[in-house]
Amino acid sequence: MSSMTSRLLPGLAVLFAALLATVGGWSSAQAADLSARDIMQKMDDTRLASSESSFNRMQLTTCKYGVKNGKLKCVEKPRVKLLESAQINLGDNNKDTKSIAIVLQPASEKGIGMLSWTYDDSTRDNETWLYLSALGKVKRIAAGADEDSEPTSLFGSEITTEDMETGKLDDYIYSIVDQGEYKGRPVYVIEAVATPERQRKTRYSKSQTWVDAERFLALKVQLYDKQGNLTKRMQVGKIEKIDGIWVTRSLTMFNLVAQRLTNMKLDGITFGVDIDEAFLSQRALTDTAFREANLNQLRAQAK
Amino acid sequence: MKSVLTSISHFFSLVPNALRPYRWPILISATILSVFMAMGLSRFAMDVTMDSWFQEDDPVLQSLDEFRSQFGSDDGLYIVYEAKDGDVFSDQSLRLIDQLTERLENWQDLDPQTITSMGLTQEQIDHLSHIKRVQSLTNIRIQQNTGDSLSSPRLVQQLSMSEAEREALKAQAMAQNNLPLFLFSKDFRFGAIMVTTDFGAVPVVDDLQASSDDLLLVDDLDSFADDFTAELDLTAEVTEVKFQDMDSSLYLGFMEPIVGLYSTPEMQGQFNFYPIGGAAMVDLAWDTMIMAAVLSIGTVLIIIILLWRLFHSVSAVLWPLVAIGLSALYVVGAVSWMGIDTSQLISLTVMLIVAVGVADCVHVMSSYQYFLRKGHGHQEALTAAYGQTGLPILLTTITTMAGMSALAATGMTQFVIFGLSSAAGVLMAFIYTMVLLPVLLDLWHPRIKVKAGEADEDAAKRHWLQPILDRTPAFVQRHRHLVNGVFIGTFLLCLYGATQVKIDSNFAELYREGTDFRMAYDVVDANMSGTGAVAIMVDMGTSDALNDPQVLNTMANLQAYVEQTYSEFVVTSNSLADVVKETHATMQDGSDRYRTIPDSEIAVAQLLYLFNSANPEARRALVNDDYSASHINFTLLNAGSSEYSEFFASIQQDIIAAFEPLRDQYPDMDVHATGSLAMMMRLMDDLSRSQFESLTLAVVIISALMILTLGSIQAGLLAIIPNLIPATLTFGLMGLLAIPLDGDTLMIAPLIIGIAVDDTIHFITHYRMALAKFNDMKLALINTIKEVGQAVTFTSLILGCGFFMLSFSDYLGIAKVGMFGSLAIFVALLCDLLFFPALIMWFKPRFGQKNVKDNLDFKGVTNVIND
Repeated sequence: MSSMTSRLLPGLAVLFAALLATVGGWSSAQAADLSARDIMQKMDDTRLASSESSFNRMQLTTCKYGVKNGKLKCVEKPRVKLLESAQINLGDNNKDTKSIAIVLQPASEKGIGMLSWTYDDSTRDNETWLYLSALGKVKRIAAGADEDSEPTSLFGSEITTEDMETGKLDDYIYSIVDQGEYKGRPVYVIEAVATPERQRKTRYSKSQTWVDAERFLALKVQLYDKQGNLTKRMQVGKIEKIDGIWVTRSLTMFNLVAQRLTNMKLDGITFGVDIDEAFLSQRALTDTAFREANLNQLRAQAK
Repeated sequence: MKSVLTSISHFFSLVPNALRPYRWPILISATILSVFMAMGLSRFAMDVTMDSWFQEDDPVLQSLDEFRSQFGSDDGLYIVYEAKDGDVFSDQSLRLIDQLTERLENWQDLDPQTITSMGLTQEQIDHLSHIKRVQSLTNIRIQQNTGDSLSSPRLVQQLSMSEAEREALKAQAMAQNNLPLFLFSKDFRFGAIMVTTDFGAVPVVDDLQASSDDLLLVDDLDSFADDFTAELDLTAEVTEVKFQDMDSSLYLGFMEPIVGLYSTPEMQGQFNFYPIGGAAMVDLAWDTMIMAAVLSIGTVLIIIILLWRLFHSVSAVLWPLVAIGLSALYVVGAVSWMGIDTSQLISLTVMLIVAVGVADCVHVMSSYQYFLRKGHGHQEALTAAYGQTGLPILLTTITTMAGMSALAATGMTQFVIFGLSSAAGVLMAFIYTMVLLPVLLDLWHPRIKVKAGEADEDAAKRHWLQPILDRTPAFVQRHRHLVNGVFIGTFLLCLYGATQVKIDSNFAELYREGTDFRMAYDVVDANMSGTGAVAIMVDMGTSDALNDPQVLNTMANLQAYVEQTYSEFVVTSNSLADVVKETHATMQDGSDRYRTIPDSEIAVAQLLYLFNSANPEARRALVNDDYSASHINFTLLNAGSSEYSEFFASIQQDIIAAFEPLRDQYPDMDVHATGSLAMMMRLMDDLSRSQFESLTLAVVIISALMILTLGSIQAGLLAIIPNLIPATLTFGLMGLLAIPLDGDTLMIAPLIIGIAVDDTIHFITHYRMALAKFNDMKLALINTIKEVGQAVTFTSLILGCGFFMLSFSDYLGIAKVGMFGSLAIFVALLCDLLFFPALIMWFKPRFGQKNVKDNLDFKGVTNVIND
């Protein structure tokens, strides 16, 4: 409990980046000479760029899974969470961000919100506000030292903040372990092993990512624990091109140990929307009418 | 009956000569079998977990399994330390604990020079990869609530400070709800480092759905995710992932570097360390096993020395040792080949086989030597020896096997394995004695040098024991009333004492005072939150029931009631209710005013949402995924199982009283105490009950056999009394001296039946046979004391001294077996030599025979040889 607030900190931006990627018009011929590290860099760049000024609505479905007649099924009543989130980039190089995420469902968690302001300037502390609607209280969560922040769950799902982390490419040593065709797409399979420095913080000893060699999207990720056992798998489902940007509309994280999965589905998405900076404030957390008015505008643009 | 006994004896006397032509085939077969059994040893597996004591469908085991599968195992290492300067918050203490914490957390960063200087290797350090989390005073964070801002700074922000700052820091630490007694004692003399490990939670790799080696191949999960729809189907098949069994080497490998890290001169100069937890226990159990092994070697040495002293012959030393070795090898080898996991009880099986094997051989060889001394040649002496000892050995084999098999009737898995494998071992020892020993003695046998012109009788007298045995009948006759009085008095007193025995197992008291283990328990009990734990499983049977404020309040109230009512056991408690209260206070103004369960279910759900998002692993360890089941944990002071049993019984009543009002709303709820301690209490109950049952059964079987063999109820009953004395003496003494009978000591009973009773049976059977031969009580008794008396004294000396070695063990479970075992053996010897003759002189039983001379006047008799 004592470290609860420090554990909530890892950025909300992760959430936005999770499902998105742009297509850069790379051809496989162009990519042929790329190193493993270059490929990961491209994947990361495109993913980050896509989160600019976006609004989206997503559904997180979590359940214990089983197999029946060759199909995947939930063996318990799935927990479904519906969220809406918005983010804009600000500052000199568009490197500061303001973002908000609001829970719509289930009814018991409706109205829970998190507001996050991050700054590129390392002398400025990031700020996060948490709002529990049932208590009507906003709490500002002071940033703790990053050194022992631990990965947390995304809205109580099987996906952790670490699973969705972007950047930090220097923390890993990459190698191409295979390339060819996977589910009809040309792919590189990139293995990332954490540097000794990174080993201290991560839950994983290594990961393998199936990267689409043309679109630079992750199609599949396998995560190995510290003992070298495969414990998690992420699979990408539907991929669509929206406003010239390749979007993963559905991804599923399998926790192979707990035999639980979380499916993350994008119900609506808008890029490059004009979001009023005033919306990304504490008022949006507490003032329902203000929040709904702003959200309705964004929802109207969503696809 | 007389003719039956005579013909059985006759049959055994024919054995050595009948086997002689086949000695090479026998030896070759034995060698092949030995090699085969030795090959099986590589498959030897031991299951030392408490689970192995229960049948798979036992409710206690199911409850604990369910608990573990829901909330995971909590197998960590709790390192308590005592600051020698009396203050865990002193600059020096904080600096060193910070260093130790840093090294445990970031063991990968230890440079080779530091590792070598601690006497460790990189390979040993790598075992620290099992560490998942380290919590200590220097890295723990506290929650701060200033206005509308929440933060979680470290409790200790600087390692060096002024006295005033130190006092302020201590006050702040004391004000935290969950830190005192967990990370420091209230007088600040003791501190603790909690190391959370992945022990018991490492998945079995084969169960995980890894992609095949061909990374580009599309498997089931790849295609499943394409069109995911959250369809509910309760009948879908779930692959339950199993977790790797913990084996001792994992724990041992883990403890080595940990001990190395805190054993540097600087650390030892500042602190005393007391590790507690699964790994520390196994480390200690390993030390105990090494000590037991050393003591066992001592036991074998004593056996060798005594065999040499008694027989003055290398072959007389060698063949019993081969008997022990082969019987043990065959049993352990057979168990291993059959793929049966054994428990610690296998060591008792081996001890029993050692005892029975030695006894069988010594009886044969003592008798053989007796006849050699009387001037018989080798073959003649061997025939006579097998004629004399074959029947009693058969009888003791049957009674011991019956006694051990009676344990199988308890139905407890480990007892069934123990009972049957011991019975098989005893049979092996019998087969060895009857088949292999005569062949081996043909190859190489003890020789007696008879001086020229010396009479046979003088030669027989030469052993120092014989003159004593010669005088025994007259001595008993002179003091028969005293002897009868003393033994019967002792028997009755011990019977009373046995009724007073308190069956009680106390973990800490299994070790001697002053041992590391005992000190660690005492320190943690006296200064920290206690060494025991019990969990109350709260399964409400309905999804989201744990969001219900009523349920959480019931849990909180039960916690408060239990803490208050059983304050002599319970130190601390925690549950999901505490998490909700704490989070509630945090989200409000941080004050105690809000350290409550909110009234609204939605508010509770949101606080739990926050908890889940912040730390899903901690959440999953406390409440299951559909929020239908959770648990309340209590930390307890160490106590004996009898006290704990009462506590568990009464807490179960409190649980019913607390939760029953919720029954209408949650008809499927199931709330009960569980955890390893609860399981141990059940085990103790089962052990004592089954021991009592199997002992009774064994006594009945042995009595029936004695009555049958001796051909008279009167004689049978007469024989049972000396048989019962060694066992009742052990338990009687424990009762009279208020020594609690613990789970380990309970195991003495079958051992005593196996060993002490055997000599008595030898004695009585031989007397019966002598009576049939001489039709004269006086001659029969003198002959028995002279012949069997020697063998019985030899085996008692050998086994009694051998067992006594074990009483030097630090582990009282073994020490008590050694102490009481050797006592029982020596008392059995006295019963045979003094009490049984006195009873004969008193009752003059005729064993159904007619025309028996009952002149039992031994006055002046010191040496009568009649054969």
